[in-house]
Amino acid sequence: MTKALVKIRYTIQAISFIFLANFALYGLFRCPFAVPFVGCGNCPVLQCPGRKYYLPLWIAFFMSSIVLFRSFCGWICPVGTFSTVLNKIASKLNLIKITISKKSGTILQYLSYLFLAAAVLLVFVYSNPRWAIPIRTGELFNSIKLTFAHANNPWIIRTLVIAALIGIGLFSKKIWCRFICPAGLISKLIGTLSIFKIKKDAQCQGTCNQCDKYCDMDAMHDNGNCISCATCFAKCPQNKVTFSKIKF
Amino acid sequence: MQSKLLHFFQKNHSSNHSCFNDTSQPLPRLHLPVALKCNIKCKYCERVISNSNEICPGHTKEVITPDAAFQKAKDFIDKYGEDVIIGIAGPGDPCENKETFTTFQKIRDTFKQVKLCLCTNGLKLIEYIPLLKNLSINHLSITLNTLNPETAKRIYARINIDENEQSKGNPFDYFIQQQIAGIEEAVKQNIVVKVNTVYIPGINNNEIIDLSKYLSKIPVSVHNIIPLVPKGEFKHIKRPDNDELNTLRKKCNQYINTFSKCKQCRADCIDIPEKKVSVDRRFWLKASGFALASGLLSHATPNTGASFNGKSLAVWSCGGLAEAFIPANKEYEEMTGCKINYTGAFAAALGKSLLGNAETEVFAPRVLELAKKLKKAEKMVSYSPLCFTQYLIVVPVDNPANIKGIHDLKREGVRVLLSVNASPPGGKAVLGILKKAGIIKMVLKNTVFKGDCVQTDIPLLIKGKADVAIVEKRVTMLPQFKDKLKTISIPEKIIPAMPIPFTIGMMKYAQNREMANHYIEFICSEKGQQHFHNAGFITAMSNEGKRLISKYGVA
Repeated sequence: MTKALVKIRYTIQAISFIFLANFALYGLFRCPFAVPFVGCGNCPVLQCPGRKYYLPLWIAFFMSSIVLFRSFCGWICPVGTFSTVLNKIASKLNLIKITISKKSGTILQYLSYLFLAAAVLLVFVYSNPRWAIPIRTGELFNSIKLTFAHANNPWIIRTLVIAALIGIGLFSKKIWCRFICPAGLISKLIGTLSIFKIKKDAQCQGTCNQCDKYCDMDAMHDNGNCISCATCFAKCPQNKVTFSKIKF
Repeated sequence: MQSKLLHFFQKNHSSNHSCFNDTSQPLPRLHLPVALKCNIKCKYCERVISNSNEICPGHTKEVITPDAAFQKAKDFIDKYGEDVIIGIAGPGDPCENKETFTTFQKIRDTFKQVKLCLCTNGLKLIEYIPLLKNLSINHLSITLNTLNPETAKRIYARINIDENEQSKGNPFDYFIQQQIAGIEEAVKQNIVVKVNTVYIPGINNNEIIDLSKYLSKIPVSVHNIIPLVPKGEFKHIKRPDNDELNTLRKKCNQYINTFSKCKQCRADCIDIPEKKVSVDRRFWLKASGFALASGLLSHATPNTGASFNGKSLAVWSCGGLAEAFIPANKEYEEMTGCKINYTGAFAAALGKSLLGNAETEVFAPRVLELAKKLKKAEKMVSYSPLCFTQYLIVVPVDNPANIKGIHDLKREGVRVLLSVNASPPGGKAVLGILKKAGIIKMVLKNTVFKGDCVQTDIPLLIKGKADVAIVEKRVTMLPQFKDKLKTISIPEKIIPAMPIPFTIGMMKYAQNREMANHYIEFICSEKGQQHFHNAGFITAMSNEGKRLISKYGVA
């Protein structure tokens, strides 16, 4: 049962990735606005799939966050999938060198608040300024090149910083997802209302620590990082991890 | 021998037939699609009688009767004079159809000067030589692909010959003998003969040089080696590329004049060279340096040029034209098989890149100065007018502030939306209009929203959060805004000139200039321009467009 669940998740992730990876690439490298993925409906970038996707996607984001804690991150988000794959490759190549202690993790988490605040400020106060010239249509890589060539400095900085933070995933587990992602933070905040959440059985003595060992998100410390990926389900030798209904 | 041949060739080519020699002053040319039936089946041939515009021999929109054909020829001659070429080239084999000769006879009876031209596979040619001589046929094209019956067997699926001949032996032998006999007889009768050979990789490619040698001895005037258009049973064979073809033509040229400008025309083609263009059109055509073809001028799609299967062309344009270029490119891709790699973005940015290291093959900028600058930098070979934009006042459909004209924007209490920080055509140009109207200070005071992107700002107006804005007409045609805005015109005298004209030009990086030219011709033809009209632009070919061409001096 638990193994099947992981397989189902992989399938959903793969399908989402096929549909959304392009949107993520556009959002990061071709979106001319300060904050991507919002207000895509009237965007001048004709080719971006966001015009069609952004509304259903935001609805799915809120719904999934309410049903199962941060499940968007673990099941749908293409950046999450990319980071997972990046982690797998990095572990195979023995590249994961940076480990972040529980204490510094708690502090680093505040970065996501900073990023979210910046995004909220840019969208609601500065009505999401246009920082780059929209390449309305064009072949992807050529257009990315052109976007970089004619973008304002803030755009170049935001793009390189985000790309770097996602890229660090090659040396440390999911830095972006754990400490930075403002959408992840929103999901986490909505998550206080979520119906289901993954919980470790309180009676578990916790000696084997398999759940902790395999958790990409370092989430077994009840820090709100769980992305309901159910890896711990599959790894727990005693089936002590379950979905639990949060009491209202 | 060679010089004698050349003399012969020149003597007979005072007629300037663009299918026979690379003439600087080609004559207008018309194909009459009267010959439906065919007596052989070439494996590369697909006769197509439909509305498609694909440029390929054997294709036609319709098959017409000799009477209709005569009328068509008469109209053509009325328009362009008697110094024109009227040909019959299919869609079947003209010698298999009595209609061919009826049509020619009708034309010859009325018009003595017109040049007549016939294309045939040669199977029945010899029987008609006396008749052709009688009609004073000027040009004859025979498609001869091989001299080897074994190869012929691989090229032709069937040869229709009467039983009498069939009993005598191999039909492929007979076919080739008939072709040669026809060619020899025609040459003897002083008809200018061109032999077309379809270059079919893996089938007849190794025989063509020998064929050239053979033809030079007859002597045939021109050997026209044309690339296979992969269709029918040969659709899986790759179309030979230009380099391959040119190398071969060069080799054959040692023996015989080869011809390399063949456009592989349809059976109903109309080819009007630039020379015959009426004065006002010539005005900018000449300056633009393009032989903007028949299509534009006869108000039809250009039917000249070849199909460009498997080729690709890099096209950049001002982003504002994207809504027009996307469907136009799609149509061109379907028509020619050429893949268009299209980029549309703010023209000044693209222009800056192009003035730097970036490369593209065709570029359609906004702002005439940019085209001029690129040409001066020798990056752009030449350009021609494409279309013009229009600025309009837009208000929500219910027009809450009761705006009637530009001066209402300064009225107290009117809430104006300006995308001041958008790229210049959306920002600076609009401010320029207000400045010219002398109302900018008051309007800026009325401005309740200053945005940086026209497309993301306009929804505020639609929602009623502002009363009025100034945008290009193209914005009002975008699907998300269509019918959601009311428009009011702005007097032309207060519109700044700079952002209005768009041009299209070939860049020096165009790898295949013939194809780039053909693409530009298509974009400037009625079919191509329709998409620009649909997207809210004034097309260069419209009367209004012609007025603006001379007003803004686009040339």
